[in-house]
Amino acid sequence: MIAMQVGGLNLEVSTNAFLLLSVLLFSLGVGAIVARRNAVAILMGVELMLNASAINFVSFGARGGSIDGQIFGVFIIILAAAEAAVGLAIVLNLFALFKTIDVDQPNLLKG
Amino acid sequence: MLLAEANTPVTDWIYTLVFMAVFVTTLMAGLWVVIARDVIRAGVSLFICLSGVAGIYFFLNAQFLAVVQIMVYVGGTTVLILFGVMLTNRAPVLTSRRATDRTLAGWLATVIVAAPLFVILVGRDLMEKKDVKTANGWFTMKEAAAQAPINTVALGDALLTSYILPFEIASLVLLVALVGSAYLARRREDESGIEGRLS
Amino acid sequence: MLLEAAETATNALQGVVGLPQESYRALAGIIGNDTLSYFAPELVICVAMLLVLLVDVSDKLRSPRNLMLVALVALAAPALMILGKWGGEALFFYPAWGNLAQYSNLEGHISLQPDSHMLVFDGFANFFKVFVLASGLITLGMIHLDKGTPRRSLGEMLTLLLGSVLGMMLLASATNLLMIYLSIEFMSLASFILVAFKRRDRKGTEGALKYMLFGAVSSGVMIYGISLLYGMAGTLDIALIGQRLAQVNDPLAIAMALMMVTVGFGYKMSIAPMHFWAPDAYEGAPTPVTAFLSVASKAAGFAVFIRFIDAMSAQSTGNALPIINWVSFVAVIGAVTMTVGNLTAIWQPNVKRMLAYSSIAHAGYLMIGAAVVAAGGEIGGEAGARIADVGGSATAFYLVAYCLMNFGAFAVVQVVANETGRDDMNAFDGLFKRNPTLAVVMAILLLSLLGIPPTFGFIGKARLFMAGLEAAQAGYPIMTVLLVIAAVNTTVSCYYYFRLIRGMFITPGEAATANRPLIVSNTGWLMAGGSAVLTLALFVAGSFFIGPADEARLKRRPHLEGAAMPQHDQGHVEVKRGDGSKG
Repeated sequence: MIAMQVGGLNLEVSTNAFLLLSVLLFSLGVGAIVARRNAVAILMGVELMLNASAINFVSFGARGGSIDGQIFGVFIIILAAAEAAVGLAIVLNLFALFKTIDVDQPNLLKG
Repeated sequence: MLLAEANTPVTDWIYTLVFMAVFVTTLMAGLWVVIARDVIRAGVSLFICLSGVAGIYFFLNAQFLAVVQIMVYVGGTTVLILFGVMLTNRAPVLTSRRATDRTLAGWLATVIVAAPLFVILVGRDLMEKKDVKTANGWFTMKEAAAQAPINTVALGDALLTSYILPFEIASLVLLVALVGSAYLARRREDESGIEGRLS
Repeated sequence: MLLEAAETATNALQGVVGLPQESYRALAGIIGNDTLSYFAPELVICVAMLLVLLVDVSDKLRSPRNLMLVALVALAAPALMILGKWGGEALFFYPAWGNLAQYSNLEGHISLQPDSHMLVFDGFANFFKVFVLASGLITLGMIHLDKGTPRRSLGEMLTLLLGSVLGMMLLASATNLLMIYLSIEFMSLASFILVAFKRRDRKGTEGALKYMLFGAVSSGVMIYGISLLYGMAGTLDIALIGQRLAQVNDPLAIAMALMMVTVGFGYKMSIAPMHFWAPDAYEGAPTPVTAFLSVASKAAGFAVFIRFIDAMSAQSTGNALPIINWVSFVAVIGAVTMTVGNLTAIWQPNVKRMLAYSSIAHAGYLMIGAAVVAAGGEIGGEAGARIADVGGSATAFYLVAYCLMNFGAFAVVQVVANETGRDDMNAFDGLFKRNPTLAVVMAILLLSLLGIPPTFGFIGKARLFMAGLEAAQAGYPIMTVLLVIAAVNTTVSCYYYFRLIRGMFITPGEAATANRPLIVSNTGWLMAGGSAVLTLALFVAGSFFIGPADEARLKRRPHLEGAAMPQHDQGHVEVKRGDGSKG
């Protein structure tokens, strides 16, 4: 009853809300990757993209009543951890050699 | 789970309110990851954003995944990234260079990517065509709770039966990542002297 | 009363041990069906990865020889096992895949659910597995040749190499999007570290950073595409997705999803919009790693891409309406890729970088084969299946030629770099005077890369072109355009290959070293000379097989039949529970 009274809105949550969040997080991730120069910040953008996909998987899975979506979510989390570990190892190595993690700064490789 | 099971109008209302709070928090934190000038602030917002995603998983009746998200993603990966930020803190990019000339390109990319995805996923409701149960395309959380398999049990079942191969392969992926990043990050005591050469 | 209690106890016990039982049933099912033996090659590599790590920490056993030996066995044994299972057929020259039918029946192990097949062991997968293993073996030789590889870190390097090979093997036989994602990440993570392997080398680290960032972003895009496919089809099995997408009437969503997934594959294949990492990573990486990535990684990308196109084409959907115009799509990116690769290669002063751009160009040529597969898929039916097989086998054939000549060329680069410490064009000046045989070997390999007649590269290219012509005759004029562009590109590529040849034979070298002979080790001769000799020998052998191109085919798994729309009411769990209680 109260639900109906608040601004006359239907306050039931639909899967579209989850998909909307996923779309927005994914696009923000892309935006971060394009706008940022810092290698770690780019990795953060990638994390946003991965989470957006995981939300998609889980909501599609919930909708279909299948567990596959959640399984995929688990694997995304596992692989994101592995990727972040490897990525940061490379970034730290880069920092040790170049004293910067600006992706535009090291430019020994050209052409 | 509890929220999804309760079915009085009041709890419905609270439920929706909490959902919206989580939704907005996640989105704002995600936005802040992009616009924060300081990478450390971006990292902290990422922390909040990913916690918010864990909250979203609760609403999707994926409790196990939510806990894994908090333990592994928020507690592990994000902390790792924050470490990365701290360890490279002296990098001049943080102080002298602002990503201003690329901000416009970033927003442009965001909009270009968001527009078609919005049309596909939200505007048309991708799943509407598939789902036989909800003719009007609206799918409430209570229905989700009723439909979803009992989650953690089902997840364990699936991981050790249908998905046992990827499950095992994932451990090898982690092994490779561990060996590799340990190799790259370990101390360089072996590099002071002459390294042994092959053949 | 007693019976009831016993029943209750049994039920309770079953509840407790239910999960292990089901896991056991899953495993027993594999062993019972003799499918685990198909997975044995991969298991050998898993064990070898751990063995290399163990040998590496053991004081007594730790020596480069032992490590190399373990890796050698770990790569050779699976290749022999696969070839043995394959019925001892010659790699792909002969069509007698009759015994492969049984492989198809045994597909999809480790699954109780019809739509959760993870891997398939068909002729196509076998070819790519043997290919990747052979590339790994050649890479071992390259590592042996490379004076720059630190001996102390050999254990890590070999572990990562084996891990990368395992990821590629899994990718070649993956039919499930989860498995595809996992395998791509597997091979990527190992390759990132391999590129950065010389930790104090600034170029290598810079290359690795670009490789890693590109990889992370493209896999993020791919995974979002996969989530869209999952949302539309309700399954992760690519064959089922192909069938169900035909019933989804939303071209924009399908096109978006397929393109996003293609981004992930394209990164592995280094095709045009996703190629920017390749020159940097290839130049920065240790030469053995460069050679390995440019051959094996690309081949694995093509394996999964062709399998994907095949599953997503109209043929498999049984629907006249094509989901996405794959032929034009693949042809356009192929044309752009080869043009970009060749035009940029012209300006490169560094040989490794030139070969990197040349490998991008070759990815473009290989896209001809992929486009033919797509055309076959669109035509559908018997004729379409035949054309798709011709395209697939032409791609595989060209990959073998490419493997030989590219590894050989990088081996020569390595030999020269060992001697001079440089890998730019000038280091090759006057090579003919310093070591005539090596210069001739390099010239043969470059001519093969160019695709000039007395070499295997010519046969490979000719088969690709013939496959393309077949598709063009079947009503795809865009294939004709693609072939013309490829021919023009081949002409353009003359310039930079011949520039290097001219440098070796005509330009005098630097005065200080001009007359000093360049010593080549036995491994060097084996790697470089062996490739050149094989390139010439296979030209003669290959000529016999160029005619009946339609006979040589690499079968992919027949598509699942009779799969309907997703049955959401019947969740996996219920189905499995039912099975469990019966057992």
